[in-house]
Amino acid sequence: MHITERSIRGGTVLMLSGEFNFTGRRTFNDAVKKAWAANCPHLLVNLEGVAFLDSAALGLLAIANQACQEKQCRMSLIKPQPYVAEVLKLANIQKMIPIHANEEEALKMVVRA
Amino acid sequence: MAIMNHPVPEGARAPVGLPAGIESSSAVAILVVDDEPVSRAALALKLERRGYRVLQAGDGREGLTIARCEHPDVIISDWMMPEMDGIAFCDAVKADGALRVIYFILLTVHDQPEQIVEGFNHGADDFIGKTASTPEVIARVRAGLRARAMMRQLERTHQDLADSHELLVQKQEMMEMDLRSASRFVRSLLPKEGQLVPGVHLAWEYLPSLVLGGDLFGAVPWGDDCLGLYILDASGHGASAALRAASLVTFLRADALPQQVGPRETGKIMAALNHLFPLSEAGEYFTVWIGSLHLPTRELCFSTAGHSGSVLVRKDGRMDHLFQPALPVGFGSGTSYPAKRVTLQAGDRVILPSDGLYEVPSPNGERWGLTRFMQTVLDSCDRPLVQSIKEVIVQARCWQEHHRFADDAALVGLEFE
Repeated sequence: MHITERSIRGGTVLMLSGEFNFTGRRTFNDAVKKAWAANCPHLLVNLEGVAFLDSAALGLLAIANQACQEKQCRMSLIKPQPYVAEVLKLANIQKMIPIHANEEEALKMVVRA
Repeated sequence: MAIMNHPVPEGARAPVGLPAGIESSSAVAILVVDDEPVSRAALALKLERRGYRVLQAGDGREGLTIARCEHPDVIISDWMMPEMDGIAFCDAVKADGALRVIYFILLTVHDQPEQIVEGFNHGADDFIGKTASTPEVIARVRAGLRARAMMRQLERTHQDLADSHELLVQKQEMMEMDLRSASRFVRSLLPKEGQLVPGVHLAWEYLPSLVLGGDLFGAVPWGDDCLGLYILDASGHGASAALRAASLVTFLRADALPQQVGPRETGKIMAALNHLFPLSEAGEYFTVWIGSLHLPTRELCFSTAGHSGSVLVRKDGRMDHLFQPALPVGFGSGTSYPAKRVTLQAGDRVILPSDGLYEVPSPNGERWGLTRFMQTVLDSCDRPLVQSIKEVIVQARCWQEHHRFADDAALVGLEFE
């Protein structure tokens, strides 16, 4: 899995690409920690380029979300592909981490909240 | 026998600039073998003056005996000798495992290329003409010592590698023994196939990706009239996942959570598991499906925690997804897990997969997916339960075009008469 980071007004976007599984653990954790170090108020994990996400990756998202809450940082998932969206839906992840169609929508929801 | 250890003459010059790994000259033993006493003594003297310890022998046979006792660093042997000539002596030294690393120099008047080739073919390492000057002799001895030092270093490295390899093999065997033992324990937790209780039959396939896997399932009596059913998947693979799965299963024994919160309260059992097994620091969690079958009424009450794919196949071919959206166990404290109820009829089947089965990728990366999995279950439902379960596994393997599953995979089938 490959991650590129991008700062936007109101948060940091992590653009993930490839297969998100256990082997991407360090890459993902490092990217998340880097965002926290920059006092990121909103972490947007863009899944548009992720073709597959396994159970280990779900765990990584969950633990990152827990840590985000402790750091007063919001976390959102952006634009998952259909298969990934189905995996997230079956695990009811939207109950824990909001899923949005695009980054603008995620940022607007924060403003409304 | 003419073993002679002459003292180093006063004023003898030690070789300068010995390469690393070569002993000081006094520690270096050179065996000179020649049937000509004068030539032998002259060469020995040249070497002793450079500080080498010199041993002497009159022919190859005597030289071999001395070599076996003294293990010299270098042998300088004449070619033409009675009893055992230089070539036969060289053969004998190189054939002896304890001596073959000795640097062997043939001392000869033969300087024709064919004879040099013959000497090399018999294992000789170098040649010195009988008329060679003292500096040449010493230079060739020192070159031989360098070669021998490198060979010794190589031998030590080889031995170190062999020792390390042996140690790794031993540790690997111990680990594999432990893993096999743990695997036997995990498998002992799985239910027996066949008739569980009158009217309920069980068949399953359990395919961990490694020796141990994080999938576990069970079918256990929860009281006199309830049958507890579960399948769970501890995230990750291997020993850690297997241990966490085995740990969770202990709470699903009849005398544990089902007794404490009630055998029909699958949602409460799941909530209790969620409380007991929070998300680990490494993000480890469980997906779980729990069912409680009331045997007198055949009402199945079930709850799920992020575990999808379980289906009810009716005898008439209709299919229901036995799924209730809820977070996996460990994802959120206070998560509630709703329970759903269905009544089973004679001929119905409940099929419980782990995600490692329906998430198998084709060679081009496309996942088999729930839809294809469910269709396969449906297509094989007219076969006996055992064959139907096997057929689904076969189809998953066909999809991935590989026998071995990359993730832990399990498939459980229950049939009701």
